[in-house]
Amino acid sequence: MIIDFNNDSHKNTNEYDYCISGAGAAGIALALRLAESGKRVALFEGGDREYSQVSQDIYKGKVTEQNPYWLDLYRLRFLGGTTNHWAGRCRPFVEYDFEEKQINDLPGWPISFEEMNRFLPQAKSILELEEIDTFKIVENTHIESEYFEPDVSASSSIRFRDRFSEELERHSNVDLYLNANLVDIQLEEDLSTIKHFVIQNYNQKKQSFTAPHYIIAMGAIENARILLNCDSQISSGIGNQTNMVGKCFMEHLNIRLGEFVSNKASWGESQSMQFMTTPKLAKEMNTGLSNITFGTVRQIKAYGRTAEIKALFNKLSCQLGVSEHLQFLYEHDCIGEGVISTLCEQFPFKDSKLALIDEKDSFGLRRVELDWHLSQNDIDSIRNMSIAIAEEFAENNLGRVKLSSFITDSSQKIEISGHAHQMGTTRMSASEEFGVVDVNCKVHQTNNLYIAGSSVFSTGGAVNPTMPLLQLTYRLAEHLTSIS
Amino acid sequence: MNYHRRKVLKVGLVSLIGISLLNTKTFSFFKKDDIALKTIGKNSYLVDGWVISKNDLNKREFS
Ligand SMILES: Cc1cc2nc3c(=O)[nH]c(=O)nc-3n(C[C@H](O)[C@H](O)[C@H](O)COP(=O)(O)OP(=O)(O)OC[C@H]3O[C@@H](n4cnc5c(N)ncnc54)[C@H](O)[C@@H]3O)c2cc1C
Repeated sequence: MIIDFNNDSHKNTNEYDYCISGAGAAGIALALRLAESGKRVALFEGGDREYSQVSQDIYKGKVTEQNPYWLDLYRLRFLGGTTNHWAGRCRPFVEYDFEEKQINDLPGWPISFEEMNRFLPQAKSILELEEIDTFKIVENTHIESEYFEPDVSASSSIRFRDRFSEELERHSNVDLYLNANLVDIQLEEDLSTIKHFVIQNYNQKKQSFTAPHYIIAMGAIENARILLNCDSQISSGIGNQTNMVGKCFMEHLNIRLGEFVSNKASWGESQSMQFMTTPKLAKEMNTGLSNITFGTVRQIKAYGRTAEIKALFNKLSCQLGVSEHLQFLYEHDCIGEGVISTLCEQFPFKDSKLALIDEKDSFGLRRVELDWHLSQNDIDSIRNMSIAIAEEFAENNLGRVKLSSFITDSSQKIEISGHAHQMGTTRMSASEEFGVVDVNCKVHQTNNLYIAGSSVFSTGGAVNPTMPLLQLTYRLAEHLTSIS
Repeated sequence: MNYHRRKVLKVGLVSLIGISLLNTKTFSFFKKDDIALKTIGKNSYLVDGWVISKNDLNKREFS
């Protein structure tokens, strides 16, 4: 059933087995799976069915001058969450991601690759990718190298609101509350058991909901923000006794490594080639894993809402020879030339973090400031990987690469942007010294509070986060049903 | 020699010298001794931001 918390009076507030806050990819998948097992689920969504500025404004925050980031543009705050405009690209974690390693004095994943992979079929199924046995190589990509291989991926067209609204409406075990914002989490006197979720609508009405188990699934920034804001009983916030909540913010680094000219003989009509770094490169040259995309002018951003105008500029640029006048759009002039971009692993690093600021949102909760930092290990990783791919590109006679000056000149700052993949802010670790949740995604210092989403990633690899976060969500569902 | 023939010859000669100079310059561009080649990777050099491989040098050395 779907209930508008702004209007309707709700039902009995303590009739549920689970209270889940956040109805994006993770929250919806979890609610439906738990409901299938016969349990009663309350799912609270802060936004409505449609986008509203009032809800979206709650995502505003500050960003330090370290690196640019758009906290409110990179997320959506209504039913279905950020999947309302995600691109649907899926790429699975690889075995190397789960090998034991210590980076920036932090341990990696405390669970195995096999354990993660156990839930891949379920994640693929909800994304309607079950037909895909192997993820496809990006067309026409070829390279002979020990350090790079053609990249693989699959594309899902699922938008969680559109796909699951009907099912949520008719499921007798799920009550989805819209305009229902989690604004506080109250603890019992033992300070480790959650007593209730405090839920508020946009007309100042507040209600407490009680259940044996509570899950927050509000995206990586909000998961950390709510824990830090709940400081009325524990001054550092819930789960933050070791000061790890909000630490280790990670993104997938989008770096313009440089430009290239392609060798027509190797490229033919290909518009892009995409490579993945291999674990061998990672081990020998201390790099993270990365996707590296060589995109020609035809391919670059020639999709989506701006496709038409891009096509026009492309035509002008290449056919009418007015490329020099269009430098502001393409810094290269014709098909066969292009730019190199990345989806590069950022290592966990405590200095890359979220912290509360004094400014408050409309519910009186403090907003966050993001201090997005690269570690020296990231900087070395980016430079080593860039040089290696430029070298292999020439060796394979795919073309020649001109690296950006911030890559070749170590005195310059590396310019980065993100992919709207926020991760790591409540990271998973066997010990509470290095993370916020345990191997079962339970907040370390609590008995019954769990987290779903990419905030629990210990490392981010070079995988688009949604499919893996769904794998972890199904793993959490299995754990929850096994203990209750 | 009339004026036009002299002009054509002059232009031709200047062009020829120009082209030869350009050629020498182009060819020597890839000679390790003549320009600043910075070793950047295991098998590559950096020239004005461009990454070229050792093979590139071998292919293009004209002596
Ligand atoms: C432009 C863009 C393209 C992307 N492309 C890809 C891609 O190709 N592949 C990929 O894997 N990922 C992609 N992503 C990332 C992807 O969208 C996220 O990984 C995914 O949506 C995260 O799911 P989630 O459920 O954890 O969070 P969200 O989808 O963000 O859902 C969180 C939900 O919690 C709700 N909420 C927040 N605060 C509260 C509160 N206090 N109370 C109650 N509810 C609350 C929100 O309204 C929202 O519905 C993209 C993102 C963007 C912005």
